[in-house]
Amino acid sequence: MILKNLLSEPIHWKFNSEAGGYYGLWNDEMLFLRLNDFPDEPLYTLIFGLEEINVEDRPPAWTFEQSC
Amino acid sequence: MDFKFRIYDSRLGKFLSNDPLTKKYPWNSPYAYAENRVIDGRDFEGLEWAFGAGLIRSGANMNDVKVAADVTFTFLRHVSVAFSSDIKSFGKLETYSNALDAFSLMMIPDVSSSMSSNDRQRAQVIHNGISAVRNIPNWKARDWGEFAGHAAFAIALTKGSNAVIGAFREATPMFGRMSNLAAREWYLAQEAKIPSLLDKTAPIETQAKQAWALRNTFRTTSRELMANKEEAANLYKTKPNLTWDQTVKKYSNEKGEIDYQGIIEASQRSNKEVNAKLGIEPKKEK
Repeated sequence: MILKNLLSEPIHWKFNSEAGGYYGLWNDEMLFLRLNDFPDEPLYTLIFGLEEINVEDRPPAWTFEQSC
Repeated sequence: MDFKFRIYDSRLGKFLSNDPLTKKYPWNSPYAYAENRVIDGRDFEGLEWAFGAGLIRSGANMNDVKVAADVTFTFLRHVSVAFSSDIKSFGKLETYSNALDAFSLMMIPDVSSSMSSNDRQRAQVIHNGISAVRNIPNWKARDWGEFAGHAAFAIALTKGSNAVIGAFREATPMFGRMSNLAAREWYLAQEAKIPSLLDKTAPIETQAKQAWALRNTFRTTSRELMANKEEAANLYKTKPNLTWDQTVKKYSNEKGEIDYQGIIEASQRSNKEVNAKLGIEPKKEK
């Protein structure tokens, strides 16, 4: 999968403070969006399996929810 | 008594000649000492009312007050440099009044109660930044803090509450409105300036503490610049700034030796690889 393509997919993310990021589902696959040490690092890193990509700003297609 | 610019008669409680700055302050008597505000101020040279009541009340001599004044303005000059970023939105930022206004917003109950939570946050950010710098030993922190507090209070009294709030809003147009990328670019521009802001004549430990304080100030400020306040709040929880003690511990070896040079270098070491990929590598000052 090309992670960059997920930037335009409608993914709903739920925050988990213990994990230090957000969990999301795409096609029943678990995704993780890590909250980085901003501003020294980009705000997010999208992780799926062994692949990862940095994300600076929230893509408009994504929605976010604060929880636990 | 010779006050450099005028002679003061202590029996009369007045100066014996006109104030050279009388045109600048038409509401004051040109013969008045410290603008007749002897309770909370002093006149150092016969020119203007000056701040520092807390210091004087606590028994500091005039030399201490002057040192505190020098330290205050040195700090504010450094902060001005830090804030005069290449980003156009910051072109008009006048950090001198900004910092002092922030203090006054925090100190005056009637202003504080009418402030929006955003304004209070902004004031807190600058207040935190200044507090961090106040921890620098060589800058005679206690004196400086008290001096700056009184200075801010005096400015608020002079300008009036609304003027202070208005000036503060105008001076910080981009707080809470930037994209994450823009806030990070701002941070990287400030980070690159840290070497030039350190007092190279100070001991290495002091320089390390200066670098640590500056970096934390810039980190906090960049988070406050973010439009995404929810995420900024998450960052404070998950990625807080290290305290000085935590930083020292991190850079200490088993023998208890502290790598101050490492702390200085770390204050200018953001994620270079990622920045290079994004084409936002910080520009180093020549």
